[in-house]
Amino acid sequence: MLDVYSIRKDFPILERKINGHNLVYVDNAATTHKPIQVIEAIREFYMKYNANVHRGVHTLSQEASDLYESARVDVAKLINADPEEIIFVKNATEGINLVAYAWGLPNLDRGDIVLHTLMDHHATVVPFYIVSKYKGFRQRMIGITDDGYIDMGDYEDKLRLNPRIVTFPHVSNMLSTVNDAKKLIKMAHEYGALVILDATQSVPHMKVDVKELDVDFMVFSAHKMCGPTGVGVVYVKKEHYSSMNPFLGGGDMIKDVGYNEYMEPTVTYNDVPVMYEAGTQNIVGISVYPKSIEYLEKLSFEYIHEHVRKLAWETYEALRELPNIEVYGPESSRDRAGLVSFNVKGFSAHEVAAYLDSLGIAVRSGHHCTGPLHKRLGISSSARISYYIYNTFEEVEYIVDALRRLVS
Amino acid sequence: MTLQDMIEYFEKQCGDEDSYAVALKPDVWRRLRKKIVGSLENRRDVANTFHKGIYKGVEVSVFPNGRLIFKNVPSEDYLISILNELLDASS
Ligand SMILES: Cc1ncc(COP(=O)(O)O)c(C=O)c1O
Repeated sequence: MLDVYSIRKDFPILERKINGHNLVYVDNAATTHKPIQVIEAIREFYMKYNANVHRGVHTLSQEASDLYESARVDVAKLINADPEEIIFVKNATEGINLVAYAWGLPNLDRGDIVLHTLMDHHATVVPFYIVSKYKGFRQRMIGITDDGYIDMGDYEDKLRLNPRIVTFPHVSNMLSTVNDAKKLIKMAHEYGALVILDATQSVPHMKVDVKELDVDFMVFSAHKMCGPTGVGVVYVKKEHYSSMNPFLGGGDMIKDVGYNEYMEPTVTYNDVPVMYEAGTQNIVGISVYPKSIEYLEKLSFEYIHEHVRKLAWETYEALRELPNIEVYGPESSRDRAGLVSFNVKGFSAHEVAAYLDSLGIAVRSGHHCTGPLHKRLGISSSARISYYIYNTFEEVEYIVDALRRLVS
Repeated sequence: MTLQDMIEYFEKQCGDEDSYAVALKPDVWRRLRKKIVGSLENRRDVANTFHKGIYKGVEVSVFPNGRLIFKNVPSEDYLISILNELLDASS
């Protein structure tokens, strides 16, 4: 079990009052707060180690490079990957863009199909949409069932179209559905398709093992797991590097640039994964990210997942009992993660969020970058409560009470 | 005071294209709170926390921290014109 009350002491921001009330922060699917250990580590990095990495023989640069590279080792361990399979980018969105360009440009052509699901985040659909305008391939979306699961019949049908690559979220950031990633990946592979797993909402909450899942590409962001903003991770299964081209050019991704007898530039790229890390990276953010991983691992991902799911399940059940509230996603606690999206009849999601904010409760309202999913559900927006390690059952009660007053 | 001087932010709401959130600067909110609430037609008090009503044909919710949400707004220009009136802004 998590000792939430002692965890809360590590998060100074939770002491804030909002509109005269204690802050109840339940917008964790958007970003989480940072514990003092991470905040202090950022300060310490700038005070003691600040230097650019990979480019200097001087002591500070080497110390900074060591911290940067050891972050790669720690992140690799977190998901059971090899360090060379880890590329640092600025967020999960950039990570999918990297795959869409670095793998998609050289491998996708007219006649090819890229599959997404209706519960995909815009961050997986739009990069391929942009690349499709250059390469002429098509995108198709797999439907979902009324109770918030990927429609497996439709998935199988669309796999028969022999897509080249499939994307789906491990956990839906709107429905809260925990998709059976292993099964979906296995099915895609049986039809010869690669898979990009959007693990942005799963890695912060549960142990994700890329080898066990046998996934080809995976992305997530540090800021949704107590880490700094500006750090994203792309996992690339080693064997795929040989079919990829660089994404962004310049800086560290270069081994050598010269020119030939015709005064044309000649370029030799660096080795992977640095070949995919152009220019000065978010050195401090990346170097400090292991502090947040260490913090979460000490708590244990098993307990984190259990705690957050229980909070969300209690909320889901309570909201379902209230009149005039529509709650979305699976009806089984087993298949739900730590968030609850809903609408209140007679009020827009933004009115609900503004009302809750006036009571100190921070929730998100809008389409949560899942426009196709909202269209499928016949709504334009929803309000979303999403929990993390520092949320309490008293907070659940406070939120449910507030919503009860709104509907009565 | 112009509208710009009175407003902290003015934002189209994600997903709901005809909905806008407007946050008033604290001094403006303190000064105009009663007037704004009093200007709403069909006004009702919701959950003892905020007011909902109609102003010049547009649905408005008025929250205790000076946030206003406008729904079913026919156009941004129309919203600006009614905000100018509601807040007695100078042009
Ligand atoms: C499922 C999912 N995918 C991708 C993203 C994009 O993450 P980021 O904004 O960190 O790039 C999010 C963020 O909300 C998300 O929930």
